[in-house]
Amino acid sequence: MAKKSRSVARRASRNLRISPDKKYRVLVEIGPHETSRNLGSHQIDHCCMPQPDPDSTGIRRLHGYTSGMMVTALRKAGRKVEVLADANAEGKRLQKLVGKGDRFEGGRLGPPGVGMLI
Amino acid sequence: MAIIMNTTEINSALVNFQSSYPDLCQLIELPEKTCEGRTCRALRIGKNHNGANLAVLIIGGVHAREWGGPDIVVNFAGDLLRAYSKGKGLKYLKKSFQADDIKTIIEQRTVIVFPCVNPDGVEFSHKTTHLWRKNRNPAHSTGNPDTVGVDLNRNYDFLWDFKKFFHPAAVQADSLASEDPSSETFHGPSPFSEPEARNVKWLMDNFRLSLFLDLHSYAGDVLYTWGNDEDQGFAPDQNFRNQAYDGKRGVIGDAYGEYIAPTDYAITTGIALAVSDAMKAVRNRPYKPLPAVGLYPTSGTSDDYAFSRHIVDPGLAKTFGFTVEFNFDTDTKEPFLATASPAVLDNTMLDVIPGLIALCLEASQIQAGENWPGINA
Repeated sequence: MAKKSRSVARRASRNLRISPDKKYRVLVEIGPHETSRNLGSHQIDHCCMPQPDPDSTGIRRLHGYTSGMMVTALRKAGRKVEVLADANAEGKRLQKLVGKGDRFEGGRLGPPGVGMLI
Repeated sequence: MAIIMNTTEINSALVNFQSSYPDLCQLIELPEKTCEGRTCRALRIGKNHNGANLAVLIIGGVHAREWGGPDIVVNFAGDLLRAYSKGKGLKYLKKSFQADDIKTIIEQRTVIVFPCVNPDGVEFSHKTTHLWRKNRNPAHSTGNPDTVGVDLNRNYDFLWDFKKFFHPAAVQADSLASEDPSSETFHGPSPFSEPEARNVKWLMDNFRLSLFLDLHSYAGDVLYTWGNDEDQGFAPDQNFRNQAYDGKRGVIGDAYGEYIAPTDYAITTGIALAVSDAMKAVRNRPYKPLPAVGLYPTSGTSDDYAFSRHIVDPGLAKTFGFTVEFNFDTDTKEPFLATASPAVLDNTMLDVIPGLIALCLEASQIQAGENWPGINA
């Protein structure tokens, strides 16, 4: 069930309308002997991101973030780019979930703890 | 359910711990203010602290966008203090620690937590650009907002000058490090150019560390030494200080490997396994130990710097260095920010805190010495 939902989400993401100024999470196809530097000035931010294994021909899909402008440029340069998510939209939504103000009132209170005392 | 702490709340939590448990912990104001003028604080935990104790240092919030790291570190500290003060053990779903385990850590060890190394970056990620990774140093930006900041975890003095030390093929990968300020891995103008990295060094200089752990996300790994090349235990001349190998490091599967003494290798892999086993035990998430180079070769990182210190200066304590990459590429759309969801944050803390407690228990064994014959080698 979860798998099906994911694939539906991915299909929806592929159909995203690309805006040049937004950031997207993408998969960019690179050849067996290429690294991200082979993408030239098309920077992909992929640090600390686990990377999918290459396929049987050695082709890899670099998992990272880049701007909509770069997505368009990479595609124009003949690169296959799959857009997984609109990072901006997700980011704005998630930023609203960060704690507001000071719930611990300057140290008068503290976090309740995670582990159960036994 | 937990909600991601902002930088003010991270500080307030530490203040609360000091005032609630004054005999068990002490706030440490670090000497360097951040680029935006923030004061950084760590917390020293331990009932019988003295200069002779070997200490454990755990840091978080280095890469700003890897949300949840500071929350894990703060709650780890809070759980230890709360459990000890009530004479209790701790349970994280299927993983338990007895009251004696907690007592051993509080009474026989020194634990230092530095939950938010990069508060400028974290604040910027929370409020402005959520995918921000680096600090907020504008010195190299030439007015372009995209070129602000240095990657703190490429700024440590370990093979920092990557173009000199690494093979040209390794230099091709920008995950190694970069001289370009617009890169996410820009390593700064010199080792320890950044005040935030100098604060971590200050803690390493001022406590005798046996263990160091840097919390990052998200690859589901417990990474151990080395990160610059593959580990090998048979050719001591192949080491980071040997100029004969400059320009040859960082290529997987070639002739060069970074030397680690077999006794040290046994210790570091044993600890990494204990940490990952504790994390996995909670709810069977597949955390695994991995040599740091297994993620990708790196230059100037904290964990390698920590372990290299006693080799460069044999007068310093041997410090085994680790990086935990918490969480996985799940079906969330934003893996770095997955912990913004309270349910995910709760589960992440449940997973990771037992790993940190296990780390501290391993430190007990290191200090005891008898189980780890290589420690004084």
